[in-house]
Amino acid sequence: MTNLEKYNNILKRDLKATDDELNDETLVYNRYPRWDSVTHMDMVSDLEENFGVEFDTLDITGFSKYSLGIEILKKLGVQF
Amino acid sequence: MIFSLENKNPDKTALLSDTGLAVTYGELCRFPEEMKCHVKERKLAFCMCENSPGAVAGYIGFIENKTVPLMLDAGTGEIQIKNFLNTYRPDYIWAPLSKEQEFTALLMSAPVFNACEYSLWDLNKSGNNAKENEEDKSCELHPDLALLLATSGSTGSPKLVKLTMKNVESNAQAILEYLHIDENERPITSLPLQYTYGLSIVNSHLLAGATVLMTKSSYVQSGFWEFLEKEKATSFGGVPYTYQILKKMRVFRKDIPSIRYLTQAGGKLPKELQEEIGLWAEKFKKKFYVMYGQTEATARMAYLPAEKCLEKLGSMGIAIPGGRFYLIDEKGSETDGIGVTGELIYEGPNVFMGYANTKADLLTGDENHGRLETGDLAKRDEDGFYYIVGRKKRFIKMYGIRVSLDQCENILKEIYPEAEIICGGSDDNIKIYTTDENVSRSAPEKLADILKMSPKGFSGVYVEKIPRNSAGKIMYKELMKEEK
Repeated sequence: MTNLEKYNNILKRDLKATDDELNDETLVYNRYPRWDSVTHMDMVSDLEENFGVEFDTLDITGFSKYSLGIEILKKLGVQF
Repeated sequence: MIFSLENKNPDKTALLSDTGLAVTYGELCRFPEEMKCHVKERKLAFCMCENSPGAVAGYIGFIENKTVPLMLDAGTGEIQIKNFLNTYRPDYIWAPLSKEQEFTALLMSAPVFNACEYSLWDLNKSGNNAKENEEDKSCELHPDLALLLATSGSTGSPKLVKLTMKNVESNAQAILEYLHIDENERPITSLPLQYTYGLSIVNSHLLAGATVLMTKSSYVQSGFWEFLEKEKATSFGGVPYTYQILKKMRVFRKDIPSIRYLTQAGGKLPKELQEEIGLWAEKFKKKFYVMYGQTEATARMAYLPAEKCLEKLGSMGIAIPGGRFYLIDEKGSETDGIGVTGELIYEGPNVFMGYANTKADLLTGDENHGRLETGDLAKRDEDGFYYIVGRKKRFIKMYGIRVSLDQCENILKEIYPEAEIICGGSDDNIKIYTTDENVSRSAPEKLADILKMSPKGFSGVYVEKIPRNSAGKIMYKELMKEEK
């Protein structure tokens, strides 16, 4: 499984999203119905656990749409 | 006017949003007059809340015109809105401009008035509702009724708490006193406006003539922290889950310069976390207040003075100014011993009138006479500080929202009519005990989905049998031992 697939699977599971929703127009914090603060922190924990990284405050607050999670993981050294 | 708004500095900003919308005290005072020709006294309005100036202006406008607002989340789903509409048949709806299309479609009529990025619908003028409302036309709500709040955010129950003007104003005054709020304060909204705690923050600061900073962003978003920093917010509040997230975000490793104080309510904060935040507050010269309240007490009943935070870990403090606590035993007699557990009773001017489950319930008066049985079991220490021990009835808090374990069982019994299911657990952790192994695997996610909550807080526990006593009552302590 590639890291992109791993990332997509976590978001799909936590947000109950479908494949065609995996984009910046749909998966946006507060706009996508299930992306609230509770689910947000679940996703952060799952991403940290699965990729062996640690988000800092700015990473947590900056993760506000689909592609930004990938950008943050890249910054933390995960290859995409 | 409510909160003596007419005596504040009319040029001072009362409400400021992160989108740049500002409402001064002068404008806020004139707003009820603008609304007046569109609403009638003693009628019911749904105020669809978001953290924006329009929601607060509408709330003040309704109250001043003696129209009773029910505060609901603007994000409430269509099925739940319809449920509330059918149960309470409101006369007016006040909703954000961003939801105008949805409400116009739902109500089949156009709004009659717009202000502060909000719109007003008159349901007596709309096609499909006019007829149904015929019987309500002569219906006048009880003269003491000023405000309605929903009891549970997420279980979909339309049960409401009825509050009077005295409830709202006395509680705002008490909060202002014990938090030492003055007109220089700038709280930032971190909780929903329709939630009693979120509303109490707005109320007490309007009473003080302060400036409320309003944002729809949550504290897990950068927009919240940018707004806080730019506008030099002086305080915010949170439920235990909020503080758990803030800890995880490592917020308490450094100073938040403009913040003067933080408050916590909506469930019991773990002692370690209270200590961590208490130490942070001490280091950076802030105040941290652990508090206790319920919607049934308008909002607040107790607070732990900030200087006692580290000394009295685990305590929710003492009664607010104007209020009084005592404990009763199972027979209902007052108990007086130190460390003796009893049900916590509160008396004060902020105790609600009663519950409403139907529109007819909005016509009846005060049933409680200032006395509230909190349903919480508590004890008192030698200095008079109170500690919550547990809940008398089976309610727990999930992420700050009250959830009935009985209701969870009922939901699951509908899905799995054959299975034996008992719900238990603690705050933020619902356990589903069942004698069916398959159910124990699938039920947590199903229940979380129906309650619209993260499945992380739900777990299934497979047990061989549900232990019951001779009367057939479930022995919860034994049940927890079954768990391996």
